[in-house]
Amino acid sequence: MFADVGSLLLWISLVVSVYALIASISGRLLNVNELIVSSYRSIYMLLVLCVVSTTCLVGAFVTNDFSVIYVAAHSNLAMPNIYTWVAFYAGNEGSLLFIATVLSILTGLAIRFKGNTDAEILPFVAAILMLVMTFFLTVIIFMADPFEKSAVPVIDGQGINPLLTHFGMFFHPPALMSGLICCSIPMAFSLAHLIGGKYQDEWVDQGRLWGLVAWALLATGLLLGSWWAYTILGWGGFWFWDPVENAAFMPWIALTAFIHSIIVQKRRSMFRIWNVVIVNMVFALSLYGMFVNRGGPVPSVHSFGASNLGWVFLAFLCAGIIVPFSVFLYKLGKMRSERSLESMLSREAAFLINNLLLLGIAFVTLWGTVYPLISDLLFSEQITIARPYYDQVNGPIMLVLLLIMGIGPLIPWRNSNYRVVLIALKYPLIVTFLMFVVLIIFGVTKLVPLVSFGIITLVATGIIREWFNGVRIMSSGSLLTIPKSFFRLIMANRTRYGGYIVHISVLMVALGVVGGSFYDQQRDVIMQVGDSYAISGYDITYIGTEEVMFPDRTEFTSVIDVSKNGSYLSQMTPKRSFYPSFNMASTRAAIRSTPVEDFYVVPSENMPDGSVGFRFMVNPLIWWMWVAGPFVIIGTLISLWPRPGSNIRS
Amino acid sequence: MYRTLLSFPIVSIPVLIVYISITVLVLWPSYIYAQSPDKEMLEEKAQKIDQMLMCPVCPAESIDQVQVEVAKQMRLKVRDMLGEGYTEEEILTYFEQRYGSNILAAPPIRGTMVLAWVIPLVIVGVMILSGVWVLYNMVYRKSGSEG
Repeated sequence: MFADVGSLLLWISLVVSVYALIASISGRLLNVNELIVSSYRSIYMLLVLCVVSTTCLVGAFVTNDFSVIYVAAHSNLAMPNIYTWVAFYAGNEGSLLFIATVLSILTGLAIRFKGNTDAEILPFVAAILMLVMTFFLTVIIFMADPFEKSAVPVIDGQGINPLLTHFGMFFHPPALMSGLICCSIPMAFSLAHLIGGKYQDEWVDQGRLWGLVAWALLATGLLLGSWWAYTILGWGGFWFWDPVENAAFMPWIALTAFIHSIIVQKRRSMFRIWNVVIVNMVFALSLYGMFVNRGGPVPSVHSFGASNLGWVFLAFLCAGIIVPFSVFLYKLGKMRSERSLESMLSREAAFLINNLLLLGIAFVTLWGTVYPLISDLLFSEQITIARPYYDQVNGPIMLVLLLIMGIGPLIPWRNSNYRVVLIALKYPLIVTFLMFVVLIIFGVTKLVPLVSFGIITLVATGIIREWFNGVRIMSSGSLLTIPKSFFRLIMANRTRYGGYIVHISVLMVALGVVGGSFYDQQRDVIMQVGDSYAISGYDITYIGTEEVMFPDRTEFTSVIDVSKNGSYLSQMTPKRSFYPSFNMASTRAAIRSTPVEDFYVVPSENMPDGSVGFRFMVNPLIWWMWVAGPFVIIGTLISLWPRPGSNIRS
Repeated sequence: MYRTLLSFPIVSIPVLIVYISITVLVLWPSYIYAQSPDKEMLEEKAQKIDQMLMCPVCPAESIDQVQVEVAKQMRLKVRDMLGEGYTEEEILTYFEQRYGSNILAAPPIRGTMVLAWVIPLVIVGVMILSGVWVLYNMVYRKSGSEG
């Protein structure tokens, strides 16, 4: 029942989307306003159609309608209903439907809240987005129909991939998929303005708004994905430059460049050409991300939905690169920034360097992902590009970038001299030097972490100094209390102070990455009941394992007692479940997290005699990575919060 | 303004000398301490090697990360060989000879691998140099061209 309705709605969606595409363009070209209005209304209707169609697929899952192939492949009777939502996008068909639905919602919002977009331009925005929409709907209906029925009756489904039964999975895939598809919107605004003959800064506000939304979605998705890997993949790490991780990472890095350089255009009307180039790159990389996820040619832990969709997506990827860049090249002669750079030592220059470094990282990552394919095709030679390559090439660039992140915001716009910058850096440098001394006393002598912690300190003190000075200026001469003037300060320049909050969250992530990569302690130990083991001050006693049979899995819950430096901490219960139908084990690490370090334990093997192979880890500073998430969102929201009735442009 | 600069602690040479001597004094003992070998060191070494070996049957993961049988065997082999006194390099060569150079997380940079490393370094270098060049031109020649 649900499936039939859902299927029908998809067909209607396709018709509506094609209509909206034709109506918006012809309405604009023939100057028929009614057609344009009707295309906008079709877009709102499309939103409803897609949401209801999605609901139908969820309904098919909830009612265990195994006559639908997709439902049978990704759920079974034993699956708790709460995982319906996860099973829904566990494969290609559902993911594509999800992406299409998100695109319909975002398009509706982009059209409804068009900001200062010219009425001449908006139909082009609608048309571009409807073109993308039509592509997705066509692929769904003809190649990856989630509502396809099986010819033979099915009693029970295959069940959900056990690796997906994790809390993070409720948000990680949707955040990433939404983030990737959201990259189409800033591109659509930029391209529409070019097509419509607006070559100046008209698209900047909407481009920045949607760029930031996509950025925050991807950032959240990436952090949640790392957290998922950390707690469930059972090896104690959170990132290993997997091709699919990279596929989401690259558009995010390019977007980071974009949301910075767009500020330069907003404030100073510069970098016009550059911003169009970069937003097109973001779109291309986001298409690449979706292509890799949908049966692309790279091996990865994310290969949930291998399929023949690869070629279709590859073709769309090519079109997605060629069309926007062709329009851009055709109109290039008419775009010209009004101003030129005045000084090498200016905020603008810092932003440009930041952009180049970020794109450098994106390119290094892209090359690492694609080169094995090139080598295979051209030289028929299989090669491995793995973590050491990325760490060694991207690591240093990221450190320099972190340093620029600290210095850039202290350099004034337009023109500056070294003295001004040096004075702004005075206290941060003193504190950093003291930090070096303290770190060395505490035994931090490896070069890379030492430098990294130094840079983190420098950037953090730089931001604190800015806040401190701002609050002092705000509160002097007025009767405002300090918290109140702090609040006023942030509200007075949201772009800047929201940005600072996000910078702080980047520092937190950096702290976690450096701590976890350079100072992790790891031991693999096989323990009998009653055995004890000690690792960096933690004493572990293995109490026993409880074995529980479920219809779909056998769950082994091990109990260990943990004490630190002689005093009892707590009992911890890491789990390992074996899924016979998948011939696959899924682990759930037990983690005791503190800001200083995580104590991490995961069972890697359950022997028949009751002994268990454990992996114990002590991961310093990882806690900060997960705390960074909320700060990313808060900072972005502050940056985006509209200022009622006034124009921020200076 | 100028006084502030002079009082800037980093630029003053005597202060700098004091800082450096403190650093050296503090660094020295920990450096010596780090030299003492023990059994824990061997495990640390083994883990480092684990991360340099890819699992032959799993996509894009090192043997440190996975629990499949072949990875476990390889981890044991690494520890056995370390115990027998083989160096990291010898152990990696041992696995390379058996499984081919794709078993290495960082295969030797020769043949087609050269391009894997050279191209990104060249591109990033060119990008940054051209960026600086564009900036320089914009500032000093006022050519009006843009990045």
